[in-house]
Amino acid sequence: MSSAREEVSSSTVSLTIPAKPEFLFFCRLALVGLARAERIDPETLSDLKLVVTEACSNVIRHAYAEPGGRVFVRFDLEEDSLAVEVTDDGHGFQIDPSDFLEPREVGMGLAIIQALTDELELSVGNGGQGTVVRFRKRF
Amino acid sequence: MTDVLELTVPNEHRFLPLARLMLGGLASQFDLPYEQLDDLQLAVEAVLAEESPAESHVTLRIEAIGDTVAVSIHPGFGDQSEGFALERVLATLVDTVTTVTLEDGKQWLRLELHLTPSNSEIR
Repeated sequence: MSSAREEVSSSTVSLTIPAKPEFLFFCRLALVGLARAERIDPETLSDLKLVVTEACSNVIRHAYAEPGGRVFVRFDLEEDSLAVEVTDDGHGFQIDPSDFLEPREVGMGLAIIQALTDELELSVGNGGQGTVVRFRKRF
Repeated sequence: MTDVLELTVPNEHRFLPLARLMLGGLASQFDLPYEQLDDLQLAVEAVLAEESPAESHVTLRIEAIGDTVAVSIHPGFGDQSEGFALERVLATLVDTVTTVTLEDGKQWLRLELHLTPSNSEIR
């Protein structure tokens, strides 16, 4: 997969789950573990759980036409923030910038992520396949 | 296709509880009895507690195949003599302990725990 996922720093945690709703809670569990490692306050942790759930849900709902897809989540724990990258290698989905301004049902996830994080970046995956959602939340 | 969950964490003590949490999550998916969960967590933690200075990160690959939960760990054993002692401990906690080479060409330590039939269906 992408080289970005292979470049791991000393405080990088990576989680790959099947793109199925019943595995979503493992992403939240990973955040709980990170919060214990870095003493992230409960409010920030709650925001992070919500945005990671939204980002991963987007992949599960939209990224794959066929079963068997995966969700790649990378957490980069830094001194004052947590950067999260959620990636898939599916067919991707169209991103309409107006979703951020006037969120509709489909764009609500991205609007929520933008509202609760300090940085948000969307891009197409390596080789034009899949979608990469990156966001950062300061502590 | 088997569902596989893969977790890679820094090889530092403060990150190792993440593995415990993931196994706990898996146990809740399977209604795994506490005793079996405890054995599996203890086995994984025993492996992770081994020193493996060459690797900065540890990867756990967790999968459920039929009535078996398999946890593959890379890197597995460090020193061979210590590895032998550890293997004997692991044998009391899980059903199967093997070293396997996966598709990435790396050697992984694989722990398998057989579930009782009533607990083997993912919810």
